[in-house]
This record gives sequence, C-alpha cells and structure tokens, in this order.
Amino acid sequence: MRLSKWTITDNSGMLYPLILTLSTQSNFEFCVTLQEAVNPLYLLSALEKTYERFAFTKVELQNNLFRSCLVENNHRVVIHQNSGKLLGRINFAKNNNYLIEVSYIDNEIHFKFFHSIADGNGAMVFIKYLLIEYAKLTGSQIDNDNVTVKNGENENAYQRYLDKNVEAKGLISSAKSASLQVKGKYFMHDGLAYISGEIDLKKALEVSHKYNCSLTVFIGAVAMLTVNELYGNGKKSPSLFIPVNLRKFFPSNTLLNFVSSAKCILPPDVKDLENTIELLSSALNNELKEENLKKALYLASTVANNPFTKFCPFFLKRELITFGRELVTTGTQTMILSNIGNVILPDGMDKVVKNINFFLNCNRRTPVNLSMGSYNGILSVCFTRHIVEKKIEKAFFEKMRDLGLDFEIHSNYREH
Amino acid sequence: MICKNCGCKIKGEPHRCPLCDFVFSEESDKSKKKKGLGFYKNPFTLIYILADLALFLILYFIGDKLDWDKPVLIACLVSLIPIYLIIRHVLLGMRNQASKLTILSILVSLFLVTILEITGYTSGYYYIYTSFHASIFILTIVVVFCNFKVYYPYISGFPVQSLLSWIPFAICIARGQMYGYPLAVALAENLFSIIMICCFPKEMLNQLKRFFAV
Ligand SMILES: [Zn+2]
Repeated sequence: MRLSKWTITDNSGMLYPLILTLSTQSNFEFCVTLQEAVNPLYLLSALEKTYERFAFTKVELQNNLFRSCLVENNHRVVIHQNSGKLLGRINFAKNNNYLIEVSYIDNEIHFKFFHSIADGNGAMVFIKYLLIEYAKLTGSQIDNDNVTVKNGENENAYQRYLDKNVEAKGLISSAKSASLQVKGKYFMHDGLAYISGEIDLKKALEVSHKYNCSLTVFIGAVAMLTVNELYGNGKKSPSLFIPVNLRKFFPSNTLLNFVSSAKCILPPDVKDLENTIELLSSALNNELKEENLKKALYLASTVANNPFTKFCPFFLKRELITFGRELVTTGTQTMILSNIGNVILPDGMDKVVKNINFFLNCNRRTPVNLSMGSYNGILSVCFTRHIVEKKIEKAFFEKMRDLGLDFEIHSNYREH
Repeated sequence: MICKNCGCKIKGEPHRCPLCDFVFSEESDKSKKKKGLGFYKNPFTLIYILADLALFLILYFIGDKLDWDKPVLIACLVSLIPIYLIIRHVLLGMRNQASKLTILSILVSLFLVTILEITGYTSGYYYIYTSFHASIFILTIVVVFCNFKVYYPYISGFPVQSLLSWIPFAICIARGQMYGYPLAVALAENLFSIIMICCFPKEMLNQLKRFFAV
C-alpha cells in the first residue's frame, strides 16, 4: 500500500492533535502479558513487520499552517524498556516520531497508542498481528489467515456515512449538560494509577444474565451506583460515557478512528441496582438508535467540515481550543466506560499470551475511568485514576463481592 | 492470596493490599522500585533563570547606548513570552476562575506598567527587569498558597532565583545609584524563600537537590 505524502487525518482523528496540550495527550494503552519473558529482538522484528503490514500506521504527525497531517515516517523503528509509568506522555522525539510506543518489561509488552492513529478496535488488530508475528518467531505454529489485507483499512468512514440532512438541533446543548463529578487530590506527576480485577468470564455473564442485561451495562451500573453513593449530592446527575464502535452499525473495514459515544444520564436519586440497570439499559438503547448514531456521527464531523476549522491557522486553533477547555470547569460526564469486548487470538496463541489488559486515559475532569475486556475466558475490569483517593475502586469491588463476583485484584501501587 | 483486612482476593504475593493498604510484609518495596515512577526533572525553572539573566545582561550592557523607545517595547513584549509559558506550566490544571483572573490581571498590569514606563520612563531597563521579577513573585505566592503540595515541583528553583535578585541591587550600588524597587523585590523574594523553606523543609530541600541534578 503506497501512501500519498499528505494523508489527511480522519475527521475525529484531527481533533486529538488540537487538544494535545502540555499536560495531556489523548492516549490509550494495552498491556499484553506473555507466558515467558519478552525477547526484545523478536519484539522489534515483529513490530517492523507489523508496520510494514499496516503501512498507514507507520507515520508521524506534522502540523502545517492550517491543520495537522500524518506523513510517512522513514525513521528507524524503536522499542523501549517500560518505565513503569502507566499512560504517561509519549515522548515523540525518543520514539522516532512514531505514534505508537511499544515497550517491554519482564513478561509484559506495553502498547501506547496516540488516539489520532486508531481507536481501540483498530489498535487491537495491530496488536493481534504483532503478537502472531512474535509467536512465529518464538517457533510456535500459528495460522495467520484471519488477518489478511482488507479493502479500505484506512478509509475515512465518518465521511462515507456522513448524512448532511441530520437535524442538528439540540446536539450541543445535550452534550454539554453538567454532570456529577468525581473529586480528589490530583497526582503530582505524569502517569496514572490502576486497580484491576480479574474473574471468570462465565461467572460474570451468569450474574449479568440474572439481571437481564449485557455485561457492559451491568458493570457500568454498579460503577455508577458506587460513584453516586460516594459523591452524589442528590442534585447533579451521574452520567456514563460509553464509546460506541460504529463499525457494528455502519459496516467498514477502517482501522482508523470510527467511534462515537453514548452518553447515558441517570437521575440523581438512583438507589438500588435493579433500578440503575433498567435506567442505564434504556438510556444506552436510546443512544444506539440509528437516528441518534447519525447525529453523533454528524457532530464528530462538524469540526472538520466547519469553514473556521478549515482555514484558521493551526497554532491559533490549538490555543483557542486549549483555552476553551481550560475555561470549562464542569465536566460533561462522570466516568468513561470502554469495553473492548472479547479478544480472540488464533489457536495455539494461549501458549504464548497469558493475558491482555486495556487502560483508558484520565484527565482532570474525569479523573477515574473504567475499561473492560476479556481474553481466554477471563474478564478484566480495570479502573485507571488520576487522583490519590481510591474509594470508588474499594467500594466497587466490595459491591461485586456482595453480588457473588470475587475479583482477583492487582495494581501498580501508584500513590502520589 | 486473600487480604486479612478487607477480604479481597489479591493476585500474586504483593507486600500490601492494593485496595485497603493493609501491609502483609515489611521487607517490601521491591515491586515499587522495579516499576518506579520515573524521576521527574523540571527544566522550566532553569530556562526561566537563564532567560532572566540574559534579559538583564542585554539590558545592562547595551542599555545606555540605545534609543530606548523601540528596544524597551520589544523587550517588554518578549519578556511576556516566558511569563506566559511559566504561567501555563505552573497553573496547568488549576482550573478555577480565581487563578485565571489573577494571571490575567498580572499580565495586564505588567503590560500597562511597561507602556507607562515607555512614555515617561527614567530608567527603562531596571523597571522591566524588576517588574518581570515582581510579577513572577506575585504569581508564585498565589500558586504556593493555593496548593503547595501539588505545585512545589514547579517552583523548585525559586530560592536560587531569589538569590539572583540581589545582582541588580548590587549593580545599582556599584553605579552609585539607589533604586528602592530592586531592593524591595530582592528582600521580598528572599524572605518568601525563607518562609517556604521553613514551612516545608523536606519538600523544598528535595526540590533543590532535584534542581541541581538537572
Ligand atoms: Zn485489603
């Protein structure tokens, strides 16, 4: 696949460089735990092969006068020793300008993705391919047929499905209503803390089926209930922000960003779990209606299609957006819950890969976020946080235990 | 293993409970060191001090030979850039209206003062230099007293910088001139540094060590 010199970033992808400020990068991180210690040489050559296969990810970010672009990156591919800092900033200079930072420590491989380049779904395809290449190098016999080249892997799916006749009224106001906020003392330095719990997937599904809802809704409802009990004042409504994989609704092979988000707002006085699940379920279903998804898609594209953003110089745009964000003191959501779903690797890969974890970034407005995913029959539920307090995590896992789900906990013990 | 204190199941054999912080074994801290947080080095104060010194030296050596109107204006505007950067860095995330208003008013007043000085100054370069110092000083006080524990890494070099503020005063004396303004700034900055060191000795000394390690 040849790249033109200026590959224009997809519509929502171009937002991320804009909000790249001194303190935050829009990154997300995967941690793959192998059965044995990582071999850096194999990892590097697997990474090189993966970049070759997904040529549109072998890029660097360049800001010209009017917008940011992704340009083919011809520097040497590099990997690093993991610093132990979860979701810190990617040092582009050290990373030879690559937008994906791959590092290793003991038997863990960490992938840090800059959000401009892909969403969780696209990233997973990239990682799967790399892991299979790695496994081949270690001598395992793995079938790689399920990762063949598809058409339109780097298409701008937003543009393809953009419906210009969407009634845009009320979009902005609903997206901006103030929500319940999690408050705490921020960490002094770069990087996040995580507390993650693992449990048998079957067991978790059984319990969620008992409540007649999906696993996402079940976990989300328990989390929202916990937050409301700890921080609620009966006035502000807790709201959960769930990224939606648009490929499920608008078929596309794209590996670039193609997500929208469902904002589920609950009343401030939710009390018991059944009630919360029911409300969250209906709110999510409403957000997933085709007309609402189209609206969300439209909203994601307006920024790119707006004449102001097209012709305003880039540095000015960045300053304006950053300043605007700083002026907004109330957050629009309480928490983000992202589910990457069940990760399936080809037969035989379980002998190489032990576990896959997914970490979501936090900022000062949503200081605690939740991610989940499962691999090889194990469900991981992972809280990442930007604050010292871990009340939510403690109460959440206590609640889960009361519901009969005894998670196995681990953490990076970040405290300040 | 299972935590005796809160009853949660824990993966592996860590030295304390991730949820309730109950300590299982004292030898510990291995896991913490292996996955250290990474040493944070803050180059901003160093940049600030260098910029500060450069500004002063330039003004001192070429100050008398120039027609002041344009250079003063340019220097004032240029001096706003590091101030803006430092403010952005120091206050990043301090998202309350009071802090923003403080910053804005410092910038505006500094600008007004310099404009006034251009139109009726007697000794432009001292004025710029000291007002630059003074604005950073006011800013630091605001920031520190708002939330010391969070922001002290960003002001690590302040005691060092405050010692430098005696230089303009010494030069004034050497030139046989006497300006109250540099003296006031130097005194105030040093006093404030001493107060900070007295209030938070551990943190400040740590930061000083880090600063010199850069
Ligand atoms: Zn415990």
